Amino acid sequence: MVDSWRIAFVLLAPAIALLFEGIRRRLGARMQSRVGPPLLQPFYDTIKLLSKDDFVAEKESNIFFQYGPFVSLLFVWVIFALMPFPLASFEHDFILMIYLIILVDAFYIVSGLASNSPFGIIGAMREMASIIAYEIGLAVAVITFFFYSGANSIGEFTLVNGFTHLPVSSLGLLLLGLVTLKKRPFDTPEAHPEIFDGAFTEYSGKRLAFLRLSEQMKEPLLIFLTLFLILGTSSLPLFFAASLALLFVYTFIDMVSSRLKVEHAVKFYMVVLAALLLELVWVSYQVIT
Amino acid sequence: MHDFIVPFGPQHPAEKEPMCIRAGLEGETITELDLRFGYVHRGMEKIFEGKGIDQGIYLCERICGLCSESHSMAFTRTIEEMLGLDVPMRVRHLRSIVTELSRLHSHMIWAGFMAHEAGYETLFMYLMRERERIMDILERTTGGRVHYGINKIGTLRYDVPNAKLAKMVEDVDTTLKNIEKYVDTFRNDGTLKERLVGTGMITGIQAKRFGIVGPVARGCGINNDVRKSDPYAAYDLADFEVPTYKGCDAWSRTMVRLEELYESGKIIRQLIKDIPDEKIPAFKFTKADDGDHFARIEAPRGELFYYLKVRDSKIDRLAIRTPSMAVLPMVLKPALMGEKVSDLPIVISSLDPCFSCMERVVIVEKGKEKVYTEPDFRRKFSGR
Amino acid sequence: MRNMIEALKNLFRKPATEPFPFGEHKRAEKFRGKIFYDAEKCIGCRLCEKNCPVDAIKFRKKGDIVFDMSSCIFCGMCRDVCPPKCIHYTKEDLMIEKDKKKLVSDKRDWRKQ
Repeated sequence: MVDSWRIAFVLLAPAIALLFEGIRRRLGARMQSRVGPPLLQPFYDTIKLLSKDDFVAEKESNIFFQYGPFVSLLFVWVIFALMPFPLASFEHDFILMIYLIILVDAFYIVSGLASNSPFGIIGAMREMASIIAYEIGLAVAVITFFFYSGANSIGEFTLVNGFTHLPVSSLGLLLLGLVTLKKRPFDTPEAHPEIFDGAFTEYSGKRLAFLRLSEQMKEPLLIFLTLFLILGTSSLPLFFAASLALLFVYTFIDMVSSRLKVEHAVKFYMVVLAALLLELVWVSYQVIT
Repeated sequence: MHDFIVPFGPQHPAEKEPMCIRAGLEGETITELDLRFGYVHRGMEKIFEGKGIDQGIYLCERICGLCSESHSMAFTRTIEEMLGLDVPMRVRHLRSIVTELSRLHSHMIWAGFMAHEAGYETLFMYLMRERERIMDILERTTGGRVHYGINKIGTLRYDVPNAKLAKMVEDVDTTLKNIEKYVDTFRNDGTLKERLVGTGMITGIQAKRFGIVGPVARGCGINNDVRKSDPYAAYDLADFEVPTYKGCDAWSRTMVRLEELYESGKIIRQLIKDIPDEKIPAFKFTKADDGDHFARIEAPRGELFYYLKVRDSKIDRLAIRTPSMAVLPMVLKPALMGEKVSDLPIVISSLDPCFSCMERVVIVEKGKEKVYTEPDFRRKFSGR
Repeated sequence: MRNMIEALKNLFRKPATEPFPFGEHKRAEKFRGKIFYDAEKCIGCRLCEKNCPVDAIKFRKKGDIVFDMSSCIFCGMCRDVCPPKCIHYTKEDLMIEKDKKKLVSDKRDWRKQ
């Protein structure tokens, strides 16, 4: 059954994402002794971008460049529609969700490679190097949670307080959520001083708006998913308060870190992946016996 | 060879000034490097021809925004030595103080950029916030934040009352205390050190052979500083050290500059304490016989060298050799070959380039240098 | 680390940014902004015109001199050499005009606007 307010949640997903982004920018600026933009600034930015000229150089008019950003946005939106109860609806397999998250990242890479500039290619290459480690880690962590709770689909997931039962996976999920968002200290694919904007460099106008929006929508997505798995949704106000608290923590970490180089970052992800795999093995052993 | 060539082109979010580095990349490693600059060439040396000596001081400040006082000091030093003028002690003290303040603010903005390139944007904001206090001191004392205009031949434009000097010491002390934790971050933070230690290595032999100057040389163990070897203004009266590190990498250069901040603070405190109480001579127009002279001073980026030729009490030729010109074209390639592209902004930043200073046109024909006038240049090179 | 504590503390402090263009806009006393030329005191010696490093001063007649603010480098030379001290640097630094010819300072008193 699909409630009307769940439909509203899905339709308002970009607005939630932009609001999160606004909070992040304002909070981050205040931590740096700056004033910071107004909370609605990302809305203004997106509207402005949508109205700007969309310049596509001749060399770049391949199908991935033209439609990549739009498809990426579409996928992220679909994930919002599949968000677990009580935020959205639909009973479905959790594997679908993991698959879609990885697919969105794959489209980010494709968008970077489709642009004909070296900056996009370098950004995409760095993301490719990282994704092998952290996406698998993310998948492993989510699978561990489902295995432990014995649920078969999202609707049946009932674990509450994942920290006490699955500490490693909870921490891993929190950490890898930050990595997927490509914020410091893990923002090498978009390192400003080094490679301009990474995969975003050659896009402008509507396509840039879509690409940026799809990246921005990943933030509430990952925060909600992480907190759903760790805390459960027994109490909605607690859930939303925890989401804002997690946003604050992510912003804080962003502001006080410098950037990890690609090779160090990948080594770090591998270590996290190893720890998560160990816990998955332990959980499977427990479930089977 | 290289997979593709990336132009870290004239517009780049990492560089303060326009330059073009065409790096040939293989994966993430740099295998080829080509530096092109000339995007801010304004023909400053040509502008100086025919200007009066007193006007020249203000023009030469405007060659660069960060080291403006150094250019002004170099010019006044050249003229004063040429005319054999005896500069009063108070003037000398005040000039050193303003030069050291200029060095403080230049190193702080450099440190901010260094942090920004390493990804630590918050440190950049904090350092700029502390730098504002120094800029306020300079604005109160001289009237300008960037171009001070306080030097005149043989004297100063304004005298600074002693009460203001006391406040100056307070502000400098507050700033240096506030940035202690940021300096500590550079010194001890794990991720920052990881990125800085061992990157952009230049061997000591290369340093000596290329004749590099300034904090880059001091980061390779070469201890040369014009303030010690050829003292000017009141530097022979102040007791300070020249920090030298032997690491030859980006971290050593960073630490050299950060420690120079504290040495500058020492100099300012000592010179303000010992400043004599006398009246500053009034400004008079300068008359000079024909002749030429050269002088050098220590800019924040190294040794700044001025050669001046005077005819008819007007500037006939001013030749400037800025420290960035001595360091950058030579050292950039050896320092960057084989490094990863993520280290490129860090290495460039650690060499502290100042492209506004650097822009000179030197035409070398058959091994001999030639200076072209503008009509000649146009005729020869623009094909008209 | 101390930076982390500072980041948290800064959330509760005032930002260090000047609220330009709102709020007050402070400049030091000695600041060299737009030139104010007191035409009544001028004696027509043309020293300012001769000493300007960038030739931004055009002398028409005594009491009528045009200072081209778009060429001016705000060095202070003209003020230093003027015998009756009729050239002043004000604290006005927002010189924005659509027409370059309006970016001058001459015998009219622009401070009244």
